[in-house]
Amino acid sequence: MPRVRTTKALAQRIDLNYFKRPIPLRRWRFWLIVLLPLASFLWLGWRLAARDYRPYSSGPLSAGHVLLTRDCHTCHVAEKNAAFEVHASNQACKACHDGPIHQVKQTFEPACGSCHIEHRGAARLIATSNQSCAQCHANLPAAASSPTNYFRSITSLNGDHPEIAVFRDHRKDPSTIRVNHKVHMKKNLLGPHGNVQLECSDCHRQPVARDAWRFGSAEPASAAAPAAPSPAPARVMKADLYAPDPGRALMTLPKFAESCSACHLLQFDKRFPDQVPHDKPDVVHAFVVKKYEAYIAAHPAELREQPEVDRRLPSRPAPPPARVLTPAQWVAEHTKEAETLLWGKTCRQCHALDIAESQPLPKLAEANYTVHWLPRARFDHDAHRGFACASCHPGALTSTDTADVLIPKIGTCKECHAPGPTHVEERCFECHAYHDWSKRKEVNPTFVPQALRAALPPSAIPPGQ
Amino acid sequence: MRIDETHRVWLLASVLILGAATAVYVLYALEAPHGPRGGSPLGLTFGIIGFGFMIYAGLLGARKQVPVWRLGRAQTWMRGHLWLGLLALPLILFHAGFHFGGTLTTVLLWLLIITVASGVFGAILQHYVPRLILERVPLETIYDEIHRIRTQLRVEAEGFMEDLCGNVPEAVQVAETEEAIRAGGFTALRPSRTGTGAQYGLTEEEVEPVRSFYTAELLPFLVKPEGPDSRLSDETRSQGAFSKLRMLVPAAAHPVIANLENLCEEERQLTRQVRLHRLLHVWLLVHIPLSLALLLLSVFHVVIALRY
Repeated sequence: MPRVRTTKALAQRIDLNYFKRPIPLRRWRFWLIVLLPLASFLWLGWRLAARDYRPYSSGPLSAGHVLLTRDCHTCHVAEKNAAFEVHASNQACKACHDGPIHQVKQTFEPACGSCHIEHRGAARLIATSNQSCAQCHANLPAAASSPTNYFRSITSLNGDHPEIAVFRDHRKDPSTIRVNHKVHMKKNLLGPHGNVQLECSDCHRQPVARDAWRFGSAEPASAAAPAAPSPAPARVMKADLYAPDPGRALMTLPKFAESCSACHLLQFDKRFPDQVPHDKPDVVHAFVVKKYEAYIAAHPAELREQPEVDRRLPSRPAPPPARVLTPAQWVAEHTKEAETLLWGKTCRQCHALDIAESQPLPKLAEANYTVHWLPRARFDHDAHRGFACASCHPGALTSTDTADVLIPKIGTCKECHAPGPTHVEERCFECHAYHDWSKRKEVNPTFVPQALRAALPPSAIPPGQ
Repeated sequence: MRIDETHRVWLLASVLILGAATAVYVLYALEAPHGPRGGSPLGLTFGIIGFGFMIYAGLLGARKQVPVWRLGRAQTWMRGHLWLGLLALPLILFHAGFHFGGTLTTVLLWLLIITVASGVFGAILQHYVPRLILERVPLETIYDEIHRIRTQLRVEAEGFMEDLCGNVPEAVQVAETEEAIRAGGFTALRPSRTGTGAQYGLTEEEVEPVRSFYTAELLPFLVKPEGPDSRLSDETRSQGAFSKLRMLVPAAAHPVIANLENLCEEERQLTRQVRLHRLLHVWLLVHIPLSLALLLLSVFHVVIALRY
């Protein structure tokens, strides 16, 4: 007889209590539901028992704080009236980084963590956002307790950042050293050994540069001994807060011995191969007098002066008769003659000299160099070393006046420092600093590296270790 | 659950929520001083809403434990589970600012991604596979009972063989299995084993091909139906085998052969049902445990985030 699949027959095949029996799929599901969360909590508990808080961290610490990774409570400190929260406090930051407030007139001091975002890995904590600065600088009068002279509203470099102050105020270069850049940069300039083409680096270099100077008499810096930093500039508008790296950030002042001496000879008399020292007038005067005294002592015959052969016209007065001078007279006369040449031509070509009849020696004006043109910002030439000088300082090829300010305008900066993937960093912190670290308070050191590494409290480490 | 036009409202609501959240996030990400952060007010809002959706999605499991409670229609719960659970992922990504953060948050985010991905995979399977079962397994039975049904099929086959051939040596094995089943105290009736000896008046020689076929192919197939070796596991080859068998025996034995062929067909369908059922449910082994771990660890994350 054929198989018959009636509903009744099919129903009778089913055990009505089938759902009470465990089946593998459901059994697996049950055990996974139990074991997986249990394993998760065991893992967290295990790390907690080992005092390793990394699993709970919201992200890796920045490079400078990485030693604190295992000790969250170094920064996350329970504050007063806080029963549960242990947020990262300003006091914890100031235990190591106690800088003064930004401005005495500021009415609002942001929390450290609102600008410096931790737990973002190796990102620089200094890389604060424009919005952090714009909290106040977008409307400075409202954020200051009293009127300020600063620009009232700045939100971003490519938004409303003003022109650099020296251009905004139409100021001039106050330097008294006369330099005609155009003449110096022209082709086939007459050099000490023929025609040359000067380059910017023949006069402007970073202090640590070790290459020999092309047109100087100074010895190059020894490779063994690091180059001494440039002498303090004659005039730095505000040096300490934004003090550049003395080695590479700013260009050193051009020095006569290194950049000028090969072409600008300081010879004062054809009798002497020596040149006067590039120094103050009294030093130069003493050198000249000494040279003449030594000379006349060695050549007493020259005390008797013979008049030159008379080639005068009949209408001209007769030449003075032959004279016999004392050595002192001879030295005085020749010194005066040489110094007339020096003060009036050789020195004056570059320096501003105040020559008065009442003064025996001229008064040399202060050079008034400006080393740092951006008093409230920092600029690093070394970071821009790959760029041709004239690409940012085009005026250096055409300037004829010392008073010309040859730093680039803000527009030049904006060409590269702009938003977007094809541009470089444009945030405020790139050029401006918030904290004046020169006025920071000294910290009381408490950390012990071994303790941090072992995630133990410093008290657990014996003194002296 | 089929994703059909009844989901339209949920779909529209989800798209609207996602669109609004995306627009808010883009503006927030562009304006946030240090980029989007979970701790910022808007980041926390995304986190709270996303976690709320996750909890709602997770409550489906609890809802299934109390099916008789008046807590809304099961279909509504399931639709909410699908769409709000799906929305939880972008909202939590907005909360995290697309950063994985530390170890715990990385684990949480990966758990969420895997849970949602397995859920989407499961939803796709739930949409297509039931229809596939309906089409390809007309003899579908209760999955949990398949093992018992298979035993019954073997007993039934044995009965057909006893009717045709008299005694069948392998009957001992089946009887023992049946005894084991009955010892479990189940309520299903015993399979009808009607064989009472040769009823078709055929000689031993005439039924020998059937006996050999049963011993060599049919019984091994019924004992181990998911083995790849048997030609009976393939419908076309099985038809060929039974056609050949019919040519070897007298016409009187053909009704028994037809019954045996019918048994094979049912066995094949049960095998197909097992495979489709596993496909339909095995993703739950990933989805449910991970989602539970996700919810529990999320609570831990909330506590840690509020403290630190």
